[in-house]
Amino acid sequence: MKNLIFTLVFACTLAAGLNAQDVNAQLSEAKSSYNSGDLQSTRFALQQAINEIDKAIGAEIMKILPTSMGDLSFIESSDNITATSSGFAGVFVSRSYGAEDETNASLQVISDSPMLAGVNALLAMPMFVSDPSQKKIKVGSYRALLQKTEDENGVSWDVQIPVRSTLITLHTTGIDTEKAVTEMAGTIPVDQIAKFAQ
Amino acid sequence: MKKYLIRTLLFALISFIGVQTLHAQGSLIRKAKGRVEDKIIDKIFNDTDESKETETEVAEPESAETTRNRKGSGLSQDVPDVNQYIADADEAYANKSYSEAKAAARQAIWGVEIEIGNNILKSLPDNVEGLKAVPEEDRVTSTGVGFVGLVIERVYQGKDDMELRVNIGNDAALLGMAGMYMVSGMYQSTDETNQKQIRFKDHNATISYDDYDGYSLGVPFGQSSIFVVKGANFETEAQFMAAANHFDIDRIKKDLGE
Repeated sequence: MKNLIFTLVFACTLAAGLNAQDVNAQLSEAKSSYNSGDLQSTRFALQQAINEIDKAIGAEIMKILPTSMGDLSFIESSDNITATSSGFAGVFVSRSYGAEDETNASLQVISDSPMLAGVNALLAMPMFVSDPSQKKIKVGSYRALLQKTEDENGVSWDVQIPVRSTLITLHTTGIDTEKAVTEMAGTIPVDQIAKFAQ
Repeated sequence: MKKYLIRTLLFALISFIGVQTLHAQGSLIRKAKGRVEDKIIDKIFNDTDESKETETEVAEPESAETTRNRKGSGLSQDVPDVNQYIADADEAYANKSYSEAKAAARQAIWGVEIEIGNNILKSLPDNVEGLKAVPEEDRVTSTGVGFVGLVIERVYQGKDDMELRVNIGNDAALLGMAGMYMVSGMYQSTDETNQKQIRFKDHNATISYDDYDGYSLGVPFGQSSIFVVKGANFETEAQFMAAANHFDIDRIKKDLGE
């Protein structure tokens, strides 16, 4: 058991070290390329550095995501961090909750996406109020869009919380009541996520 | 009797004065009424003199207007210090201020892309088929992210209101998709007669024409770049293509690192 713990700690340290080294290495390469007049290599190295920084941001967000949603525990193996630096989505973080049964939930954070900034505007549009399957709610101090979907597979809910250019989405399946879903959404640390993802 | 006579005279005098007063008041009322009627008629028939008088009366004093800007030289056009931003990104990352590190790295990319764009502008010809470059219209736009990437623009103008507008887009995900669309041959299936696919300096390209915008040539190149030339008031396709042929795509491709 001690060996296992030691191995895990060592692996984590090594991973963190490699990550930090990557960013520093990319920034060093960018600097040397720029000073030698190689602008294309400078740009590429800087883009790579941003990609690595995005991964670090994703890791920080992952640390603060809830480990349970209601009665559902998170599935560690499903944790996912993707950094694209393409401008469509800087960081994509996802975590799943629940077992193999029909009741489960997932939490997604997509940050730094100019396209998602429009969700805020959509929330302000009155036509959304007129759709009986959608409703505006408050999650903490943030406005959010709650959407209910019913089909042959049962009931599912989506809570979308836009914060500037970041979109936090909670998706649940097999949870019947709106109250249970909004309580789950209430456990999302939106403020802290926004701080990292800005 | 004498007493009654005096009273009668006094009454008559008072009545006379009263009638005069009433008459004068009636005259004043009539005059005022006449003026109001005149104003209404003038308003209906838009009498210019009266209108001017009215405007003068209702014009607000200048001091009451919202303060308008009357001076200022715009924003400074400083070129970002790339080395400084790289150092800032390094320091912020070491301090685990990841958002700041990312912002600084983006600023550095912005600076680099501005330099790349300016280098390409320098490499473009100053004259194209008698049209001269308009330096004030030169534009390099960089967002520092791949969503839009780098856009370089130059405008040439000349006689007979002719204009050639050159746009070079680089490192944009959307442009990459546009390039895939172009080379997929989908344009060949259209029956529109105002556009066709051609070869331009060993690249697949599309040329189109419409009466409003004139000629337009689009050439996707490299992984995610596109070269677009738009020509207004060119007589023929051949004349437009002669102008477009002045641009060295391979040189641009090399400068962009594609």
